[in-house]
Amino acid sequence: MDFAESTFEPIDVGSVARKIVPPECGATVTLDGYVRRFTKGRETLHLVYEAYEPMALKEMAKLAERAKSQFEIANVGIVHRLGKLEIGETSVVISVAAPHRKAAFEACEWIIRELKRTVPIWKKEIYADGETWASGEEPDTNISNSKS
Amino acid sequence: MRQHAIRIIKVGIIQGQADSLSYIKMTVRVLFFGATAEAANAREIEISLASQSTAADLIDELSATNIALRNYKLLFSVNQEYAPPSTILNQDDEVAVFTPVSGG
Repeated sequence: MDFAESTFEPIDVGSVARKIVPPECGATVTLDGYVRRFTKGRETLHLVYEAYEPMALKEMAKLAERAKSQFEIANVGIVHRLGKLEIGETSVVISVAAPHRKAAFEACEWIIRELKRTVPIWKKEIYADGETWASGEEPDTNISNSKS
Repeated sequence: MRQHAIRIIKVGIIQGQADSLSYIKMTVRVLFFGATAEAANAREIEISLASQSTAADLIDELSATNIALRNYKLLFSVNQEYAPPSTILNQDDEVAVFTPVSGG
C-alpha cells in the first residue's frame, strides 16, 4: 500500500520502507533527506518547514500514483517532517519498492525532484546572521502569476 | 438563488453595463504560507470581491490594502488544486497564495 504523511515528530526512517515492502518485490530504495549544515558556504543553524497540509498530502499521493504509472514499481511511501528541524535531522523520506532495483532508483529520484517542485511545503533557513524563506524553483509558466 | 445571480450578470454584459457586476459581491477565504504569510501578516483572511473576479484580481485587491505581495513570484491554488491567475473564483472558495515551494 502507498502512503503519504506529514509529521511534527522525528521520522523513523527504517519504518517507512518496512511499511511498503510486498513479497513480490526484490528491492526497496529509500531516500533519507536531512538538514545540511552548510549551503553555499553559509552555515545553517536550523530549519523550519511549513506546509499547506491538506493540499501537500494530496500532492504527495498524486506523486505516488504518477510514479506508479511511469515506472515498474509496486509501492511508494512518502513522509515529510514539519516544524523546527536541527542539523542532521531527517526532513523527508521516500521509499519505493519494486521487483527490480533500477526502476526503484529511477522512481525515487523522479519523486524527490517533483516533490520539490509541486508539494506545497516551504523551508525557512535560519542562519547565525539572519533568516530567509528558501526560494523554490521556477514554476511552470501556466501556474505562475505574470503580474508579479 | 445562484442561477438568478448568473442571469443578472448576463443581462448586464449584454446591455454593456459591465460596471453593474461590481455590485454583486462574493466572499472567498484566502490562505497564506511562508513568505506570503509574513508579507500579509496573516495566515488566513476573508475578503469580499466582485462576482467573477479572478485570482489575479484578488492580488490587485490585496495590494490595494497594503499587503505587499507584488514583490513575490506567486502561485495560486483554488480548493487545494493549483490554478492559473486567470481562474475565476466562486463564493466560499478556499484560495491559497504562496511562493514557489521549497520542501524536500
